[in-house]
Amino acid sequence: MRVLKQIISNRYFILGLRLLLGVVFIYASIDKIDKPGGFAQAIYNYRMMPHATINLMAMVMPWLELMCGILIIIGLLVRGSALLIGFMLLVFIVAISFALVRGLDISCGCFKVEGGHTLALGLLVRDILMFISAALVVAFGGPSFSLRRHERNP
Amino acid sequence: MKHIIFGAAMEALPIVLVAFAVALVVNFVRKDGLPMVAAEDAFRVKTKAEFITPDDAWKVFQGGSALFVDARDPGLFGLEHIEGALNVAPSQAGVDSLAWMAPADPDVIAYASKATQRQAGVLADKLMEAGFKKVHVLLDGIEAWKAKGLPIEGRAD
Repeated sequence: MRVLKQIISNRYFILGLRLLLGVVFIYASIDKIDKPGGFAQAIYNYRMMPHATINLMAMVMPWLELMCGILIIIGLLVRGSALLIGFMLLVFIVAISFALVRGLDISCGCFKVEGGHTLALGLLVRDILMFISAALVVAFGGPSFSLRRHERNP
Repeated sequence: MKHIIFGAAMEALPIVLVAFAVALVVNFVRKDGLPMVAAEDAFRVKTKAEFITPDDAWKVFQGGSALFVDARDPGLFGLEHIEGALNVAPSQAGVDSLAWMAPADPDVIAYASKATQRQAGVLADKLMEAGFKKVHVLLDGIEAWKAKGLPIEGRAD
């Protein structure tokens, strides 16, 4: 147990998780920013969100993904970014679970607005693993390898 | 732990605020920006092509002139699709790959799933622009076709 805690709190391990989450979220945001209408359609297809909130979500979420992705990589507001990434992943996990239970035959809209991954259990597992990664960064993501640390300790 | 989560939430707040601000400004500036609230029919299928029921599509299929085009993503297409259908992305590249068939004037029937019929509508319109004259959209998508027990193929067989 102690060894496990040493591993998951290791600053290089946390850095690896930060880079992974950052790259995934930056990549995921690009197509959504490029095609807000398509992303709004993808959100609508899940049949979960109130109609009035779909466009606002389609506008804001990709920028949130991009900003969190950049911040978690460069090491500014790391815990805040990881918390938001965790929250977004939780939303994705709930949405995908509901869609799978209801048997919706739709694309996930994760990386590509049109086309992309088919909803499947594998996506759920991927998102759960990333959620755990984000939780670890919130818990152990200190000032290591961050611009902020550099500012403090030039 | 509470202290860590509270600290993280305090860090998250400015990120959310800036993301909102950037998103709203960019949406206001860009040409294809979205209205704050989507119109009631914003996510319904809009197409110049006519809808066709599975029964009528089946008659065309039996006549031998039907060309089914599946507008869904390749993952769903690989799982199952209407027998003989081609997977064509609702993009210009996808339509260009099919343009050579336009002179033969086939009865094109575009479809997607019930939830993503809009993709079929987009594809149908692009095919009409590319010179296909007889273009239809399958009403209620592949689910309606399957519900009638009509032939499908793919990995789910």
